[in-house]
Amino acid sequence: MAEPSDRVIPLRHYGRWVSGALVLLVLALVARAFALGQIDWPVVGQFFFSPVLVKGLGNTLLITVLAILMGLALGIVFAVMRLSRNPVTNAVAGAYIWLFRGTPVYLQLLIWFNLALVFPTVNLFFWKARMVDVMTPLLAALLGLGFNEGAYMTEIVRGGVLSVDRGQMEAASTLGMTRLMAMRRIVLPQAMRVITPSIGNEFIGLLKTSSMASTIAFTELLQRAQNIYFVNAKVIELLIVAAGWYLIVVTLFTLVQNRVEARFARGQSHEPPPGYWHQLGRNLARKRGPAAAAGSSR
Amino acid sequence: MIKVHGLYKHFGPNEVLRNIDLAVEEGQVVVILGPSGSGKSTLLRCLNGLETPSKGEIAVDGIPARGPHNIHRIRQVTGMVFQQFNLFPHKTVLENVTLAPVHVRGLRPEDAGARAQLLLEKVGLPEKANEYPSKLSGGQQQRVAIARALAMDPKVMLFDEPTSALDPELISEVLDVMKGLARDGMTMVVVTHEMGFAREVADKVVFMDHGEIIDQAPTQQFFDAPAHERTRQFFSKILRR
Repeated sequence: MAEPSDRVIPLRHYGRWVSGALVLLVLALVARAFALGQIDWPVVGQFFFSPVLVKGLGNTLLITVLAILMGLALGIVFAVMRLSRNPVTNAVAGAYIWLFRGTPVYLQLLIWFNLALVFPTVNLFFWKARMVDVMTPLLAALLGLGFNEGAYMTEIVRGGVLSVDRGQMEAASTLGMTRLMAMRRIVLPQAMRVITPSIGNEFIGLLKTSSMASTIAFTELLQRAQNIYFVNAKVIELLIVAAGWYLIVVTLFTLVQNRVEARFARGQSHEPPPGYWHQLGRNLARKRGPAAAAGSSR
Repeated sequence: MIKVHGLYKHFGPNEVLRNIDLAVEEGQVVVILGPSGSGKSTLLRCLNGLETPSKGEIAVDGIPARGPHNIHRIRQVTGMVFQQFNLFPHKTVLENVTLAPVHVRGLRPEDAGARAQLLLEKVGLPEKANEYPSKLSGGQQQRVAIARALAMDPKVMLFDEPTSALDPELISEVLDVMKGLARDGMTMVVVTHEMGFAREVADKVVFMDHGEIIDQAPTQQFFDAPAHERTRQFFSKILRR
């Protein structure tokens, strides 16, 4: 047994330093190639904060957030239905998943947008209107992306619920809770731990898929960038601007997601793992020793 | 208090319970013993509707265990303690104990909280009220589970191998709580391997094997003069240690 006065010295891994340096070298060469390539960088800077594009970004964010929220709400409802023992609710949920996962998003968007061809008027008893007036590109994009997302969310939520130990539902029911209350207070909160990373994935995916809404006249970021380069022929520059914004949003979102995950992991892990940068700093600062004569397998 | 008559249960082709007749009077402590696979847990779980009988009648506190509405009523008057504790990991100990009283019975949070503190004292864990279950040892978690079940003021407590998942040193703290409950007159049905507990506390012992009740007798008689060969065989295997 090691005595308290012994220090534990991590091994030196020479191979890692060499391969790390090689990878960094390749990356540096690639970066240099782009820097020296025929990219008009000032144009990138010029258009980065242009109001047209920022508004487009706003549209993208708006539709993504709304569609994710709608998808999550539908997902929870239909997942509970899909897990129920009632054959009717179970089958209806199954049909929803089948229909909205089984057809392309693009097609669904087109149908929503052209709904006026099927239902020329909207007739709620207290309010009537023409469908063409009601079904704006925003609404069509929301409904299309939302219902589509809901089908995928249903399976994500269902997977999360299945991952919660059966004993939790049993304990809740023996305490007198109805199935719905047990779902709401005991099972779903625990399922969120498993669901949250997938929601993060869906959000990031939807952020990019939202560009499809441009086909139904919903002008979001990518399409606006395209409109600009159709005029000034600076294709790559504008695409870099759009890419930059997507990356910024995804990065910020990932930070938010980490916070949300930490909140749902309350009480269930002993310590959060150290952050990447923190760990890197520690690793670089540590003193290391050579491998023992008996050999290290790394 | 509990009447079981002609109970059969099968899972597909597997007959797990055969012609079970059992009666538990109010205030009695009944221990169910038997090898694994004998159906003892299934019998217990039929009592509060976690399993549905294939045939036969069960009544708890006069309520027949048939139909979701009745099962729900039975669950309001029974409490269950599980082998794997099944505490709610995302809630503190106090929240675990007050959740059902507040949201199922409609108690005010302050009242439920005060009662929970009393129950936690009763099981010997008043200082752990604001801890999360993952910070507690197995024995402590099981005691919290007992407090949680007691918080709903049950008339009957059902224990499904409550100490089988515990380290040996932690078993006695849980058994002590259960003995205390028995002394206070709680009606208890306990599935366990703890013979000492059965001898000390049970009023009646039931021995099951392969889905049938082989032997059923008052404790003294059961241990001193087991009527059936199978029971004697079971003892010889268990008491080998």
